[in-house]
Amino acid sequence: MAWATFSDVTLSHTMVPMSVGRPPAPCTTGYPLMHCTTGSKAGRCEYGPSEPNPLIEHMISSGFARRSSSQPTPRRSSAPGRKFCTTTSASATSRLSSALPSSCLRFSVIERLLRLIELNGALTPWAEPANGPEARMRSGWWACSTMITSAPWSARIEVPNGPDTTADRSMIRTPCNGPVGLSICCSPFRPPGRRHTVAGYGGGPPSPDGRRPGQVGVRANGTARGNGRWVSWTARSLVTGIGAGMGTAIAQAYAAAGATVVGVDVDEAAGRRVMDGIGAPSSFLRATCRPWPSARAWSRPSWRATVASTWWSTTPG
Amino acid sequence: MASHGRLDVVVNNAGVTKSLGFFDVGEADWDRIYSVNAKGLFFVMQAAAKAMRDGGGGGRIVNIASIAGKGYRGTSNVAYAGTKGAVIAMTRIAASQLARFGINVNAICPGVTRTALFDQVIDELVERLGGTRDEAEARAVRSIPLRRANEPADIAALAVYLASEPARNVTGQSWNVDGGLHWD
Repeated sequence: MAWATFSDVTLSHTMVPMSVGRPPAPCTTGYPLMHCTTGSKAGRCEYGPSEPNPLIEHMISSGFARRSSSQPTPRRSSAPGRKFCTTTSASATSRLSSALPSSCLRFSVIERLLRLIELNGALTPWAEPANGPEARMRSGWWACSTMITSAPWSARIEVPNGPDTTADRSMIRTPCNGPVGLSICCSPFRPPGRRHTVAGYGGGPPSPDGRRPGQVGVRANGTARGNGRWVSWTARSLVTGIGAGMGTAIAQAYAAAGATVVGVDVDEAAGRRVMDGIGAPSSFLRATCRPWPSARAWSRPSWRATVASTWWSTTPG
Repeated sequence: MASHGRLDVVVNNAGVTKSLGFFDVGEADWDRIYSVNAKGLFFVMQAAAKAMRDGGGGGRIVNIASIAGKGYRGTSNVAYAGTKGAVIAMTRIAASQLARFGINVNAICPGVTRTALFDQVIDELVERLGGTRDEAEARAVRSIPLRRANEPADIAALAVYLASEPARNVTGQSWNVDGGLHWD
């Protein structure tokens, strides 16, 4: 049987299928809370062959523990009994893992469909050529079989065939209290409603204690891939030409994203109007244009009076 | 700096232009346009980079250039196009020289954008070439593949991105926001 767009899960004799005796309709499979790891390709909960290199490894995890990686193969728990299976339903998993506190184990319930029934009705490809292909015995409730094969009702991940990729397939997790939207991945801006929980960016290498110069409140979240320092930090930005058009829009967008904006413009009335609309802690600086004698102007005195070039400097407004 | 302690992001948006034919660009026009669009931008960028370097935490500089700097034929005048080309070049050089301080420098190249400057250029076009304002605007928009002029918010959205963490590895680039007017 070829692995196609869904994952078959064959329950072994140690796992009593909950769907025995039921028609091949979507059913719900639940498992008790026990740690185990499954590959999305195989999706098996315990014994049996494991996939050599599953594309996605799902873990039942708590807090910031790694949720996906391409490196390790699935590990089976040696503990007897039924295992807690994860799901390839990305949205459900993501929702759960981002919503639950770090101390909580995640329990997922997925819809599964008895897909192998149709496959089992197919012709066997290895039949004797003289006799031609013959139908295989069906499994499932009408065949009185206790072996049920099911697959996720709507698998989100299609496992590709072919060689593995060397690309980094790690995922960046969102901590329980992390920012959202644009700020999911450490925006320097404070998202609306979260005044002091944003992440730092860029800069030089952190000092041995994990801090970058000028940054405070760094804490490591302990994730495998790093990139998880969260700081109490707000961006200080300066936008020139904020009196109208793009400058106004940029200043407003930065302020909405949580940055402190210092707006600069030669038009004091327009600039103040814009910055007043944004409000504190943002502020306005008036830009003044003053003649700046260029070397060429000095060399030709007749030009001094006509030099219209401006030298921009900012003075507190 | 004294009142805010540090500087993390600078947007060099200030700029001037006017609608002028090739033979109409005078030296005063040239000086003014270059002083504001190129010289002013550079020294703001230099001062900001100093503050960011001294702060030690890196930073982001976003320069507002224009597709005129890449050869867009509908530019307001040749001097303006020259200044915007200078902005793009300065952005690249600054990005390479400031990278070691953790400072990312990028440019945004707006196309036709509905701003006061756009209104002014349209008025000057009407005055110079005749016709109505609506016709001039329609001509400008008709040349855009997406048939839509920028709103200032279109530029602001990219400016926010370039200053955010997801853009941490983006530097020295010039981003067109123009509805498909110019590819480069």
